[in-house]
Amino acid sequence: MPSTNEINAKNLRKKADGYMKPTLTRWKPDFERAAELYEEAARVFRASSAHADAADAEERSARACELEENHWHAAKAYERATEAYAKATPYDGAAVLASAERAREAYTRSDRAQAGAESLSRAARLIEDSDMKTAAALLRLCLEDLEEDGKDVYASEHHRRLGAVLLRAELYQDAATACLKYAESCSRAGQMNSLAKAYLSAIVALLYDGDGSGAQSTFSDVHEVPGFENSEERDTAYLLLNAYRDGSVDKIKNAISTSSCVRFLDVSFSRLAAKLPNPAHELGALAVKMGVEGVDGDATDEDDDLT
Amino acid sequence: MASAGDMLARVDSLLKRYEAYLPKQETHAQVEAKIAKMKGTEAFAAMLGGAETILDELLEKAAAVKSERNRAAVATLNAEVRRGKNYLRGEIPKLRKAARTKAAGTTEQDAVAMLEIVDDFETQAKARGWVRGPAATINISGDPGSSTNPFVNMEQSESSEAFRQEFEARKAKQDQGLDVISRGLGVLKDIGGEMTEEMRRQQPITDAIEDKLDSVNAEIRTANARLKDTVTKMRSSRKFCVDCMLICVILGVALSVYKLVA
Repeated sequence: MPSTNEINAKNLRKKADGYMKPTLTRWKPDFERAAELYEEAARVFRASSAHADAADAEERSARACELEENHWHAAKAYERATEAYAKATPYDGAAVLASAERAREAYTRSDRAQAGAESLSRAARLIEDSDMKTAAALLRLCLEDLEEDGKDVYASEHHRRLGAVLLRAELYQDAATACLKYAESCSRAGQMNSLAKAYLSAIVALLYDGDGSGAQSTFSDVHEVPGFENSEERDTAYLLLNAYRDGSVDKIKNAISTSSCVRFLDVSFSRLAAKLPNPAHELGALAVKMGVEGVDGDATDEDDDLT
Repeated sequence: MASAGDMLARVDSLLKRYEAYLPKQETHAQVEAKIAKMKGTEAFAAMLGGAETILDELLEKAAAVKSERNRAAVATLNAEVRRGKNYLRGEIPKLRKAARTKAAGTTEQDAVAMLEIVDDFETQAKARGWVRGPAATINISGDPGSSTNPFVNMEQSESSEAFRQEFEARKAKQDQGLDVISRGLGVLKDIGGEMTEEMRRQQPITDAIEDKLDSVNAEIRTANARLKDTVTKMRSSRKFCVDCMLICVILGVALSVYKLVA
């Protein structure tokens, strides 16, 4: 049995539909009025917890704004639609993603690209706990936009959030890649402190995932990057990798506990570091593999003949 | 209230007054001169007597060292004992010489007897461990953490042990404090780095705000000027007076009409 609120909302929507078309008395559609009515309907739907209907109403409002060439308001409406889709049951991640992308496009059209990227990040925050994959996808889009615009300075918050989301989803390799991208962004923005932390976080994530050789090759790639070269984080990483090569649990724990910089990493990474070595992986085999790789070097690129 | 100085002065005056009744204290030089004048067994006996007195005095001092707590006083007593030992070491050959000199009235037997006494005396002194043979090696192996031990064969006394322990405890506490400081410095370093980055992030935003505010400021000034211009154009002050007068006239007319009607 629909509530009075819902009936009201449906009526408003019908009225707004009327304004979208020209009539005998009104020869041009009144998009502004339609948008207002749609927004009102959406508010009422939200009050009665009909989130799917609310999302639909907001989308219509946004379309009306777009037809009116008011892209800023359209973008805001699309954002509200995204919020409604996030709360709707049954939850549809694809709908959230699509709606968020539309919001970002509307922002871009109103010449506010950075606001669009921020809106993607806000959408990701809504679904961080429930749908980590979609949240990660949204954050990646956000970071792509910021990178294109050269706004790396504003990207660190989003990078950190992406790393945390991927860790929570237990996608350690992806988290490490995200950290490396973060470090790249930091080097462009001149943020050396965060760069060092990002590299150390990547190595910690790889070690926790049991990818010792990956961690080693990452270290050999990045240990001469300015900003990481003379940092305490590099020393910690070196000690940690040595401890892993020796296959000694005590040395690993000692390296982490005596390090002065592990506590300053992001919370999720420092907690991960405290749990090293991962009991799920066999330390001896890992150490042997790392030892072999360390002596002979990473052999994957040797076959590439660049002549 | 008599002070120590007064007491000393009074004692000195008393001593001077009754000097004649005091026992005659012979100085060491006077005693030696007397002995030099004596011959034979008398000289030997006098020298032996002197040496034995000194030996007794040194024994007393050694006993005092054991019970003395003040380190400086112990050092002084030890030095006096050493001086005493050196003196006796010098005295023993003199005694032997005195025993051998053949003076008038000394027989062969007496000479042998005197030599025996001298040997006994030397044994007596040696038995107390004073007249040393070759010098003992100085123990320089200092314990870790302490300075080299300049004293010869000094065992760890209770007080030095307690001192060492206190020293170690204080050092450990200092190390703890330094650890705390180093942690704090690490935190400060991190905070400083984050602050730098945050300010770098905020700088372009602040610049943008500044630019926008400048343009908004200019626009407001223009709008104000235009508004003022419009208001002046709408109603100039001269016309304003005319308006007021006309309103008064209308009110007057209305009042008179009202009076006529009422």
